[in-house]
Amino acid sequence: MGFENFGTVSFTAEAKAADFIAYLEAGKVMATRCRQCGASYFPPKMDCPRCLLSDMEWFEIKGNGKLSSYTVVNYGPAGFEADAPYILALGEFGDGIQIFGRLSRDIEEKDIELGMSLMVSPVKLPDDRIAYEFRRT
Amino acid sequence: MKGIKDRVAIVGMGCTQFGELWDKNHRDLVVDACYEAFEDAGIEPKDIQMAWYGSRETGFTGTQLASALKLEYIPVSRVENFCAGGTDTFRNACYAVASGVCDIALAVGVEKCKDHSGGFNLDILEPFDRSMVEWDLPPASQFAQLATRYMYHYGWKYEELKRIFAMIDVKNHHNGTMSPNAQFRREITVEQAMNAPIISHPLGLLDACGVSDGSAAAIVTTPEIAKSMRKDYILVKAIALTNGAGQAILQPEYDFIHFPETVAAARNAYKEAEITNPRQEIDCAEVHDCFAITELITYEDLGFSPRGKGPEDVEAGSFTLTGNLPVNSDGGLKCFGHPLSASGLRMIYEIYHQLQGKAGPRQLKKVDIGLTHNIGGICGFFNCTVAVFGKP
Ligand SMILES: [Zn+2]
Repeated sequence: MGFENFGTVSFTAEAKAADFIAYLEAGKVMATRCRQCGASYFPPKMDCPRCLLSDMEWFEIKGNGKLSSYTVVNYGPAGFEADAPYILALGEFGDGIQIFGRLSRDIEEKDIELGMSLMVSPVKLPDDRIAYEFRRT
Repeated sequence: MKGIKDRVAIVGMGCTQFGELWDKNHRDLVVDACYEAFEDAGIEPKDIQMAWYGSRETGFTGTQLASALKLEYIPVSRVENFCAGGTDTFRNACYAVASGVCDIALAVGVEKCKDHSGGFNLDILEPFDRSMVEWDLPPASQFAQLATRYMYHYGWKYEELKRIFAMIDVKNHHNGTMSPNAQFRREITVEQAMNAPIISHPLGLLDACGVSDGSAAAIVTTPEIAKSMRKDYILVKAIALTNGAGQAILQPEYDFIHFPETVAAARNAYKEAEITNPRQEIDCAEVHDCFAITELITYEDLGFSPRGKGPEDVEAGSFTLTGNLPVNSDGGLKCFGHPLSASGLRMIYEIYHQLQGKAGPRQLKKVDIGLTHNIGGICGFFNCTVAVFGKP
C-alpha cells in the first residue's frame, strides 16, 4: 500500500516514503530524521539532502504546533473544484518540522488566528482515501 | 570568467497588444511582434542568423517560429522555463552573439493562455518523493500563503497589509493607463482594491494579474554592428538565471517571506553588471508582480528595500512614476496579464524604450540603468531571471 489512496487525486503507489501511508492508516503522522546528521524532514524524505546518505528513521509528530500562515482557496484547481472553499495552512511543529496541509472543515475562517495552536492528525476521505489535516488542540 | 556586460546590444524590439486575442493564433502574434522589431532595427527576416522561441503552452519546437516567419533553414531552439521563459529566451540569443557564432540573433516569446482553461496547466512537483500526488495549491493560494506569512512574521494586521497591496495595485493600474498594449487600462482606487472579491485570503481579484495572450521580440547583435545600425541601441549589462533545486523547502528554517532564487539571481546580476548599491544605481525596474505580495517581496529580494521595510517604501511612493525608483512603469503583469514566455520580453521592451527616451507619457526623467525580473514556480523550485540594461 503506497500513495495510490493518498489525498484527493494521485497517480501512483510508488514512493520511497510509502510507509508514511501505513503509518497514517495506523493513526500516526510521521516524519523522518537522518541518523547521520540529525536533520528532520516533513514531508518525509528517505534520502538526506544535507549529507546525501539514506539512513533515515521515522518519528511521530506529536504535540502542538503553531499556525504560521493560511489561505482560503475559493477557486480550486483541476481535480479540486468540488472541494473549494477549503483552507490551506502552514504549521510550525518545532525540531525543524513545518507542515503544509488543510485545516479541518470544522475550523471556520473567522476562528483562525495566526499563531493559534494546532495538532496534525490522519483524516479519512471519501472513497477509502486518506490524508492528514490540522485540527484544534 | 567573462560576463555578458557590454558585449551584446539590442537593436530592435516589438510587442503586441496583450489581452484576450481570440482572433489571433500564436503565429499571428509572433509575426506582429517580430515585424515591429524588424522595422525598429531596419532589417529583414533574412538577416536573422539564429533564433530562440520561448513558449510553455503554445506550440512545440523551433519550427513554430521558423514557419511563422518563413525562416530559411536557420537554427531555432524552443526555450521553456516557466515564468522566466521570456528572459531566458533572450539570454540564449545574447549568449550566441557574445560567443561569436552569429552576428544577429532573434528572441521571441509568445503564449496563447486564454485558449487554455485556467491559463496554464499546473504540472507542479508533488510534495512527496515521486508519489505523483496532485497538489491542491493553485498559484493564487501559494502566493496568498506568503502574504499571510508576511503578516505573521512582521506583525502586520490584515487591513494594514491589504492597504499596502492596494497601493501597489493602484500604482500599476495608473501606469497601465498609459500603455497602449496593456490588457487593462483603467485607474482603480485603494478602496476598490481592498474590497475586491477575495480569490484566496488575503489576495483579492485586484491583487492578482490577469491571464492574457501576447508576444514580444528582441533583435540582438554586437555593439560594433549596433553602432552602424542606430545611435540609440541598448546594451545588455547582465542576465542571471537561477533555478531552485528544492533548497528552500528542504531548509526547515525557511521563512516563506523571501525567494532565495531572486536573491541569488540579483547577486549574480549585480556582480556581472558591477552594481554595488542597487537602490541608488538602478533607475527603473520591471518586476514580476503576478500578485501584489510578489512585488512587495521582490522589492526586498532585489535590495531596493531593507527586509521587512518594503511597505514603508510603498507608503513613501518610492516606486511610483515620480518616486526615486519607479517599478513597473508600463503597468506590469497587473495590467498586461501574464502570457508566461512573453512576459520577460515585454518587460525588456519597456526598459528598452525607457532607456531610449521613447516611453511616451510614461517616460521617466533619468534612466541610465534599468532592470527586469521574472519568477515562477513553487516554493523551493522557482525559476528566476534578473537582467540589467544600460545606455551605450
Ligand atoms: Zn543527513
